Amino acid sequence: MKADQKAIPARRARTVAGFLLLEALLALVVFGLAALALVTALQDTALAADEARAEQEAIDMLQSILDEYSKAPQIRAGVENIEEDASGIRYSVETALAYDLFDKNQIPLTNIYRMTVRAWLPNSLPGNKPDLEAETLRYALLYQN
Amino acid sequence: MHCSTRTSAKRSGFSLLEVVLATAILALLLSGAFAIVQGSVELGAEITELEDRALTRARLVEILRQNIRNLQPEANLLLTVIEKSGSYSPELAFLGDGAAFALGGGPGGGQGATLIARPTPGGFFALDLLLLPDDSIGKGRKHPDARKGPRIELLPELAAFSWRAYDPVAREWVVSWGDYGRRPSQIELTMAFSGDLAPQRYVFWVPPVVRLPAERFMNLLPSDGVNPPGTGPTADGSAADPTRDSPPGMIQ
Repeated sequence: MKADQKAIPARRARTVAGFLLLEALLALVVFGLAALALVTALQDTALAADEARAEQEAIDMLQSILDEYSKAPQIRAGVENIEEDASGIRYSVETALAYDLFDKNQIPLTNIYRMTVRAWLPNSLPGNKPDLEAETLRYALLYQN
Repeated sequence: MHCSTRTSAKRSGFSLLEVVLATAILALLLSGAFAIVQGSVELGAEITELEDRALTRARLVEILRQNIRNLQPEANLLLTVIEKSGSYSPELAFLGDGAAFALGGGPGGGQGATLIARPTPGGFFALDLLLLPDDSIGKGRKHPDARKGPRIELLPELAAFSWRAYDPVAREWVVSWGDYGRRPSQIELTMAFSGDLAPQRYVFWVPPVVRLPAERFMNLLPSDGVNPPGTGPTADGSAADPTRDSPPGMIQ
């Protein structure tokens, strides 16, 4: 009984004196997890910014490609793929006769082409739907000066 | 008795080992935190720079597109490459277009504007905008540095900058355009900022000038012949529109 009474305060004293190795490790793990979450959030921010930049660039390029193809003196039907640029964005231009346009007398309009430019951002897979799309109509006999 | 002595010794302070361990752990945590903060600051700076560059590029392209698209009917584009002591400075002039690059207000009252890519030390270009007070550009070719008139530096450091014009008759891209009677159908800009991986290419559409034959133009005039087209009602009550009966190329 005497021995027991002596043993308890001795153990308490050891507990109060400092941290266990396990406690220190746990604290490190908790801090590590917090740091990891922070780094992940930062990476996500960077990726989002990069994606937004690529999208803005693609929008500018869609306009530029439409200007180039739809205002050319001569146009021809078909699909043309534009090779990947430095940002890794892929584009394609499709030119096809528009059969679904009618005048007020329901007579189909002739010689009107629909030109569609599509863009795939760098992280999209080859089979995916395009991320951005822009189209215009072009009367074939325009701009033949 | 022995036990109480130990307890009081423990309470009196930390041992050297404890202090060293605590300092080591603190140092580890602080260095980790510092590395993360430093990394995030660098990343933030990099993102800001990239976004700045993308925004500047987008704004420049937008301004160019607007100005080329809205080229006035009587205006034309002049594309030249001026060479001086081995350095080339490409220039695109909006001749006779008083509204070109009218910054903020209405037409500047000048005869147009010109964009000059001026070579700078280190193989870079600076893009300058000059508002032309008169038609001086058409009369004599002066080196860009010798030009008079308000000069605004649009972009200070470009790694690459060049123009080309598409000749709709010859159907080819040309590096200079001096035909006052015709317009190129498209203008191509290839540029790279310092730090870009590769130059980016943009194409702008130049609206064609469709000149109406005289008899068709006369038909568009109101019957009393007083009001020029577009300023008053016509005989049938609708607003006069000079483009109403024009070929499709006029309507944009």
